[in-house]
Amino acid sequence: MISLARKNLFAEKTRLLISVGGVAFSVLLILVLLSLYQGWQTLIASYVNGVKADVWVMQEGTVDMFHSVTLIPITFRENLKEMDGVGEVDRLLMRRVSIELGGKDVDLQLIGYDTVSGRGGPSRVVAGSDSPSRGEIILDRVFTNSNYLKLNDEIVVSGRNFKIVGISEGGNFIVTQTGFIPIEDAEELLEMQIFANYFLVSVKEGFGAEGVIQTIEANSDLDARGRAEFLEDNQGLVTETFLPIIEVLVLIGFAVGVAIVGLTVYTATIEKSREYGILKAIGAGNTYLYQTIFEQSLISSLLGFAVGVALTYAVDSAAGALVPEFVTVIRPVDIALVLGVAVLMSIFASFIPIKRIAGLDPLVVFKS
Amino acid sequence: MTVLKLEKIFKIYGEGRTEVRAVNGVDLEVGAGEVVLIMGPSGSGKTTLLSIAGGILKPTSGKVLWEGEEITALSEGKLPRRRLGTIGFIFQTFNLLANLSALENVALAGGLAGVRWGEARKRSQEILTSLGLQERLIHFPRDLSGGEKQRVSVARALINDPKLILADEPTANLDSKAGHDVADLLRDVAKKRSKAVVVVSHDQRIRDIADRVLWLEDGKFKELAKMVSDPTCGMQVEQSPENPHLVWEGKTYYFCSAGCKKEFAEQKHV
Repeated sequence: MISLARKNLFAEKTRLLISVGGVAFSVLLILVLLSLYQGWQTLIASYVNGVKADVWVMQEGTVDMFHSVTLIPITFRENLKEMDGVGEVDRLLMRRVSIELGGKDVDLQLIGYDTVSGRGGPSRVVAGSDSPSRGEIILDRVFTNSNYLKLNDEIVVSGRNFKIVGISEGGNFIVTQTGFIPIEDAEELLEMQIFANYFLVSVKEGFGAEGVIQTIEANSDLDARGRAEFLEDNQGLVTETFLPIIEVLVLIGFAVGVAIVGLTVYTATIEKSREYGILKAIGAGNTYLYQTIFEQSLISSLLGFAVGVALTYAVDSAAGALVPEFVTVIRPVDIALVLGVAVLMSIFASFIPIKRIAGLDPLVVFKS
Repeated sequence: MTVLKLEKIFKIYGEGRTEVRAVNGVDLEVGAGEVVLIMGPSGSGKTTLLSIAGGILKPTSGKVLWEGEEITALSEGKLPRRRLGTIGFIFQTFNLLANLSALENVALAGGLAGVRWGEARKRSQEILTSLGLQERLIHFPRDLSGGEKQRVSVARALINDPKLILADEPTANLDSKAGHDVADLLRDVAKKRSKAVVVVSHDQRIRDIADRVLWLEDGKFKELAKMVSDPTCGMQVEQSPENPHLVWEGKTYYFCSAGCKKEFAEQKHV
């Protein structure tokens, strides 16, 4: 049968535009927030994910790389090597430092790693060398873009000059980015000759990471965590800090969508209440009338959803190009979630108009 | 064959001192092929009676029967479906849906009754063509004249082949020619398609095509033979000694009020 909802909806183009625009804005807001949240989760996980270590060893009580400082005497390295199942052990030095660039202070997550094994170094080098020598540094792409730096430029870190020999990806921690230098330079710069922040352990063949973790913890005062566990601990920074804010903003986005679709469908229903009365009088059942209203609401929401998704891709892409820190990941599951939200919006938005029609007296047809 | 039967219909609003009897014990039977015209002053209960006959309004008491089936006993859920198949409505203001074409307006009523959309469109096209609207099928109500709109409304009333057509002032918004056309159309609907047609109207053109004319006043039918015109204001009044009246030049005149009687008496120096 003909869709009265579609006919009415497309006959009132301005109202349709407002309604679709409202949902699109709402979808944009929700999806950008979700993609940003997902992007941050991915960013935070990216470095740990890229490090080829089966087990991360750290000072007892360490929460994650961002909330805790872990200091382990270098002598533990030999102890670790002697434990069952422990293969290679690499030392990692890590500290957030402030450097001056273009007249302003900029934070950099300085990471000193063993350039021979390469463990703990950059995940992906996109330009230049993937192994810095003494006095050289590999910087994250977001950092070089934000600070207008390029290969062979020099920066000063704690009074020492470093030449940029490589540009990497996967080292953007949102509020700061990574700079990779040889462990020897890091020792001197951070005065950490007798300490490590983390030990990166590879597990020998025939042993499992869980067993090695238990061995390390049983034979030392250190914490040992598998890659997946440590990754999750670090993602906690985003989950705990931003998730509640994002939840509130998503709710606001949802409310905005419901309000706009609800208002436009309601005013359309009021305007057409005589026509609904005519339909009631000639014999249309309430189910048909409710379906018509819900269909109007659903079409607005689905159109708004489609426009909103397209806008999200456009905004994410444009913002990512303009602001390198704006890293987003749009997952199919999030799009499906927002589709569900859009359908939910149409259900909520239909509620009051349907109540109005339910109480409509078909006798209006006799009024001239 | 009786299509519509009303038995002792009462519609009472309010109670005690504020009680209003909009319909006060009406009985009526209308057969197939018959055109019944209901006339009466404003507020006499015509539209209320038509709404009750059409199953849109529940009477306070009494029975409404469509083709022998008592619809006053039907539940609110079943009534609309029954109405779709039994009754076609024609309204004074046409009441077409603004965003549907003439064809869609008619076909929608078929679709609501469960007719497949393709079949409903085909049937609508045939009816509209038979009513002379073959050139206006895809036009929207805003592009149609009053007479054309009312013919679309008649087509919509006929799409489900109902036995009973109820029309409320169907010619009130039409010019002289269109009014005549619609009156003739209603007669054809009754005679050629064997429908029972009940029309509420003040229009003389409808009176000309009606098989029966009923006068409704104060919620009751009164015999039209006893109704006369007030010579002062022209209103139809009952030829009753209870109404103001006087005799002039050997003839008795009846008035709607003492004021009209006085005015008449002054003019004629009675």
